[in-house]
Amino acid sequence: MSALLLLIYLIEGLISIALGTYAFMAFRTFKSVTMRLSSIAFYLVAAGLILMPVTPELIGYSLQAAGYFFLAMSHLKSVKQAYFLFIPLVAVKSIAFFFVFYAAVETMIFLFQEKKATTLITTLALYLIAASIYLQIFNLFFVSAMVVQSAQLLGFVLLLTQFVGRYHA
Amino acid sequence: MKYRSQLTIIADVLNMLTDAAGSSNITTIMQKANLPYTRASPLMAELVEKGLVERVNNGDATIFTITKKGSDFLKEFKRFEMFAEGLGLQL
Repeated sequence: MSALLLLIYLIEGLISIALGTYAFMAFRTFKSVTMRLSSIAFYLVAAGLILMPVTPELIGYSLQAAGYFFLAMSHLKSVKQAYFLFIPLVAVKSIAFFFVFYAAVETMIFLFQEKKATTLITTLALYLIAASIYLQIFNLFFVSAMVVQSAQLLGFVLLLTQFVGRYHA
Repeated sequence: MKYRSQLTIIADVLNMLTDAAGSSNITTIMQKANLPYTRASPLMAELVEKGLVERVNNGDATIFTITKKGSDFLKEFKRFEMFAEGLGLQL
């Protein structure tokens, strides 16, 4: 690992520690549950970032994932029931995104190995679908449903061209 | 109506008292802090017990005055509230 990358991880870790400490001070002063969860979150993320260069990547990322889990929990605690139904929806969309993205990456690896034009189209199609699902996670806020669905439709059309092309071949 | 945590409600009451030159009666507190009597009354008793507010009996009326501890609490709250809001959270 280069010295510059090491430095970046260290700076990110220190920033996270500073945020965690500030959140901990807020927790100690006001006994705020959201601040307690935030401080745990930032300390875990900091540990993950700082340990990243010296431990197997899985440990670093696991700590960061645990940290972001606590950050999400602090938001859950903060928003109360107002947006409660929104949370499982985002979780399901995120899982869908993960699986499509995984399929796209696997297809891309296959493309690099086999170097076939048809696989390129499938890869593009899966990335498009993944992108549209990613946008759907946020479409309540700023992305038009028409734009998202258009991207997804294009992805499915590309997948269909694969099928049609093979059927007629 | 936006959800307010207990801490935010306390800060709203202290803020309201500060804006009202430090003291006010229960009716004004209820109106300005948007609280029903059933919540405002035990809350003010709690703030008095914690030393954040002082109860002064002025004839028939009871006046609540923010204390030095209450002002310090409010100052600290505002400082940390900015941080929490920056994270999209409530204290």
